[in-house]
Amino acid sequence: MNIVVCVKQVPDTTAEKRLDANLRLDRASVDNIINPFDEYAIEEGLRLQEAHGGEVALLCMGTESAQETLRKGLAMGADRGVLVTDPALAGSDAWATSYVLAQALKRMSYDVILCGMQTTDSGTAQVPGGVAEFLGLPQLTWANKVEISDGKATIQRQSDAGYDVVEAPLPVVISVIKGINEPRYPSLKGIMQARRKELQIWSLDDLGISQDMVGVLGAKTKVLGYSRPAPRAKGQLIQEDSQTAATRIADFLVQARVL
Amino acid sequence: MGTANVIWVYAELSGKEPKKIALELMTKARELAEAMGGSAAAVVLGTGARTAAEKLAQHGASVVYVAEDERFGNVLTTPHADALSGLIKEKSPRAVLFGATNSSKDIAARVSARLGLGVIADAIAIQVNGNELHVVNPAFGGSLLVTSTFTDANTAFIIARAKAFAAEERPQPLKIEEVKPVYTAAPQARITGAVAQPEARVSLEEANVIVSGGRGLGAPENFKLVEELAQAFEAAVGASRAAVDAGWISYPHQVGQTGKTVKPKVYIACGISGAIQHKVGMQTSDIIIAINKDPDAPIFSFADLGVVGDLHQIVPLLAKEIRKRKGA
Amino acid sequence: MGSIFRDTFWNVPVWAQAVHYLLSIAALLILSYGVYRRVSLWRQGQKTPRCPGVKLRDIGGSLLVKKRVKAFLLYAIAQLRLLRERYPGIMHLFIFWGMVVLFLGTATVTLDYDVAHLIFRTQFLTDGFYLVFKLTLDILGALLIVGVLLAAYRRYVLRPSRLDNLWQDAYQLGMLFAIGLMGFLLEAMRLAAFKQPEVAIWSPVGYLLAQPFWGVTKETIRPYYVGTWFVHSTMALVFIASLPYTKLWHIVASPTNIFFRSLRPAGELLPIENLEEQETFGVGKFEEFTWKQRLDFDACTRCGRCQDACPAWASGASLSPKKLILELQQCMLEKPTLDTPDVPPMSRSSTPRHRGTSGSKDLHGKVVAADELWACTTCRACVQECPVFIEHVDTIVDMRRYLTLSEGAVPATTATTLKQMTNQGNPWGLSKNDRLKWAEGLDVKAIAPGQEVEYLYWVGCSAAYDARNQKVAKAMVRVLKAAGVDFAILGNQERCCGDSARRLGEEYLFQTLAMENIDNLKKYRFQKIVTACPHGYNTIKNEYPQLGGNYTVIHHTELLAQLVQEGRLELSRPLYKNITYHDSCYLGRYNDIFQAPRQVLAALPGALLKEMDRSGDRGFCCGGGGGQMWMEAKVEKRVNHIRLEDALSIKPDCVGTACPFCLTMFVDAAKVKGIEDSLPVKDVVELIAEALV
Repeated sequence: MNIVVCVKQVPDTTAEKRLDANLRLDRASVDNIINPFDEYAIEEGLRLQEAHGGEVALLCMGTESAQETLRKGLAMGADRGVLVTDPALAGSDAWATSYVLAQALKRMSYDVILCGMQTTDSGTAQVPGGVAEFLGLPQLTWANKVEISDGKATIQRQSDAGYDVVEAPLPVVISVIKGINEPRYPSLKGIMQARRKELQIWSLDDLGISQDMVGVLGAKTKVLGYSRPAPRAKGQLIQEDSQTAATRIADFLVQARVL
Repeated sequence: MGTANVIWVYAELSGKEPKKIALELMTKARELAEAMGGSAAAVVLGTGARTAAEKLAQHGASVVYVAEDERFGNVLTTPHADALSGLIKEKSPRAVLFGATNSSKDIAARVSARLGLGVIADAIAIQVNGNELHVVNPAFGGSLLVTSTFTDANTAFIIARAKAFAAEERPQPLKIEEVKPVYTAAPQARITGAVAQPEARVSLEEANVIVSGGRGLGAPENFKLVEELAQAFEAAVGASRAAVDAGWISYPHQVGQTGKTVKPKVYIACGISGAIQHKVGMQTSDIIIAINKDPDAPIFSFADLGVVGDLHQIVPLLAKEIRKRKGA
Repeated sequence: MGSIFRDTFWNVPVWAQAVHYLLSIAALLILSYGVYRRVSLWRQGQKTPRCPGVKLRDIGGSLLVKKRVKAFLLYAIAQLRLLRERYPGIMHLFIFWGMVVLFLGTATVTLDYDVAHLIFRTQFLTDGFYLVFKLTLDILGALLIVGVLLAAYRRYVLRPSRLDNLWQDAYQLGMLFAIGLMGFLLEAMRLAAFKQPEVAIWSPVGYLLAQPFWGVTKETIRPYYVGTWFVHSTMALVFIASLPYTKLWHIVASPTNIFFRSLRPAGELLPIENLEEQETFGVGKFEEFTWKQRLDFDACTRCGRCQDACPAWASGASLSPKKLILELQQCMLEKPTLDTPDVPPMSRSSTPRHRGTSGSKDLHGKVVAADELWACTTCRACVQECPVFIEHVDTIVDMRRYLTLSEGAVPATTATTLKQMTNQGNPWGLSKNDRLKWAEGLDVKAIAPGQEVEYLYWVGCSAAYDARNQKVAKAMVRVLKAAGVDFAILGNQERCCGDSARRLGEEYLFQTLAMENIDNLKKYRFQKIVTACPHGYNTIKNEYPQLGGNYTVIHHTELLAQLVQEGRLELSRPLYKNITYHDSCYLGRYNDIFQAPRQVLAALPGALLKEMDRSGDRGFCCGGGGGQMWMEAKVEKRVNHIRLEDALSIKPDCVGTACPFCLTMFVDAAKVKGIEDSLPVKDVVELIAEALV
């Protein structure tokens, strides 16, 4: 059974983010890490491989530096990596990302395509569904449990009341939620082996995608500007009688639009 | 496409009622449409759509497109995407607003891919600017607010956060239009069953609200105060290491460096001092509320709202207050 | 018979003498074969130099060898380690010296008879010398018997929980007792036969035993004597032959192990050299242990002192250092097959945990469970107590290295911590740009290139990020300023020192962090590094030199003691009366700093230092070392709770600490007990800061 896990390089959420003059993330100013949600997808892929055999490939769209991210995933145990990188991809939106990944996937062999439920940077959660649509595949999203048997995949999917059990025939796109598993710690042995693993780099030409479909040119949305939210109001501290305190908390939650 | 200044809401059902977020979006859609000199409509798919239409009309829908078909209930995403994309192709609305639920995000993803539409997710504000829709969403873990717009005149998809907008009544005459979707023959994901949450408890990782208890509760039996408050919120129950250490609650509830890392919308810490071991497990929560008797507790230095007082009184009163307001 | 001499084969017929010599040869052959087999077991281990650079020809002049000889004399001959516990120490000393002297005595007799008498027709065991010889042997023989009885009483009546009883123990004690007793009986019979009270008086024990049959004639005694002699001498030969096959082997293995003990600083773990070129890491298979580790396993006498001292065992974890070493010993003696379940004699339930595919199952998950390895706090109490200098901690870390570096099989929450250290250079994953935040508004100088300071204050992660420990850093700044000490800090360039990572087996991360710190330190000029964290202290002082970082490192308690002594701190505010001090393992046992913190506390106005029962080099761990800070132990009673009770038992007004981990563990335990308001726990420097005018 062949598994492809889609991964993305994102800025470390603990670091301070800055946008450059073009209102894109100034990637030089922050440390990059593998999208934490994707680690769950890789782990799930490796576990499926342990149970069913086959290959786990990683697919990433990003800048050259995303090779590092792929190596991290390879260090966890994935077999090979594919990086789609092209200057023209800069500024790609969710549609373009899904499209490019889907075109790359058409050149790969897969029974299961795994994704993290979303990324920690843009967080649209649009890519798993988009990829499935472009490839004409069913999608099993928000999974907290995945099982494969008899040519079909069955997941437990987060719902309002608990979980729905959903199944679909292979091949299928599955997105997994945080907590589905405990991503393994990459061993040094894994890190060393990862350096020797195959890592292919594909450009837009390789995929036959014209430049104006993706990146800034193809983007269907554009950023007009950004601002920093008022720094979280330095915590208010109140000391009132108990009933007033309770009311104040409830009021605060209404103001914050959670009640 | 997208020429008419009509704003749609993709309204999800909860039983035979529209979900609360659908009404919030409906109100906002109406407001946006009026600003653009157009009108608002809703799309409701699934059993109960007709009944739900009424409420949507009350909140500003001039037209409610409905399709009642069992497959909306037992097939994931694809029939909804088929129905919605067919309708969009036919009617070309200016924009469709989705609530930020798992299902709506999935449907938006498929339809936008199919029709080549722009999507802006996680919206907390939408404004009309001339003929443009300006959408604000937080990015990079909330450290930036980004204002974006759409580059083409196609139907714009906006996925909005719950409670970003208030639901208000803007009654319109009820007008229902039946839709007859054309379904594609692609392989489907079928819902074959359901698993209820064990003990009706929400898991910490997935919870929107977490109520946590610490050593400040004073005694093991007081942990039920925390549990009651959690129930009022339909929240998950968390705990500090000290409370787990003392044997008041089991380890799976532990939040912190050596427990779970959580990021709910609201984190309510009751009797937790906020030592670093706990802090690193919950500090990225959107809103942190702390109740503690010690005004010097470190947790107050990073809580959004700190309450110095007796949690044995405040917590039950708060639970009552929440129940009251949720009921209203 | 005019003169007094040793009549070695009095009364023993020639045929019996012949049989005796034949049996002796057989015994020596059996002994040699056994010794050869056991020594070759050691020799199968990996290389590790114990006298690096020492050539055989200048062995006498080598300082290292001198140190080894000294250790051998102190610990193998004088048995100082054993004497740390009075009863078993004295007991063993009796047996040991009794044995040694009786053995030397027998050897002398052999020399006297087989060499001097048979070959040179002369004897030296005569007259006055013989009498003194007899008296000495008589007394030490008695001590041997007393020692054996004490041992048997302890083992079979008192039954301390750390002892397990095998047939070997009974065999060993039984043999010693029987051989010794029969020796006395023989003597008594000889004395009774010759009836020379003026000679007999020099063998008081034998004389006493001879009283009942003093009146019996020589002829009556004869057959009994021959029989007893034969049994006695044969048993002695069996004893000798069985040496390498029974627990008696410790007579050889233990002193050898003491001779080859580690002479490195206690706190220095050996590095994995050329890390990135290795195929395997740490010890994943039994064959990967060094010959010295194999000797360690072989030298264990099952005395259980390590287990008594072990905080993990006390907490109810599955780790017992004794059990661990014995499991490994067993593994060496009889290489287990994959299908035989290994049931250690005294195991608490421990679940073998194994993930991965390499063929290492014969050790990990089979002989040693991961739970056991991860329960260790690396407090070194076991190493400290071991009378034969077994190095448990190094062995545990070696096996952890395999789990971490080869398998990535670290405990769940530890993985997060290690990743955060990798990404942000601190265990909590807080932004590396926030490392200086604690010092806001304090006017603390960050070191700059070109300028030189006397002290570089190494803040450490806890003091930089943890709200409670930030108070320690602030107190440190206040005190250093008050004393007019010239110091600066490294600021945002400081990274985690790597101590936890290394002890969790993450050598790669340790070396990465250490190199980054060393590279940053290169940019600046300072005379000494001072730190309030014993873990940073130990690692920078003892382990950074491995990577080219050589610094003079002092702990803040040492600096404070010096400042107090020089009168540079005006301490006038009385704070607490009864103060107790909790020894940090990495400060005390690892680096021998016991006095400095005590001197500082004693200088506090009105303070009375009260010691806990377990203090100094017997100090009981807080439970935070060896990476335990980042784990959730599944135990009956947490180590920090046990330690808090130690403190509470002497009713102090305040507990003084000198380590951020100890402080955290104490505060946590106090919180759980609900006494955090009534029992202040403070770092030594906080107390000094408070006592300043």
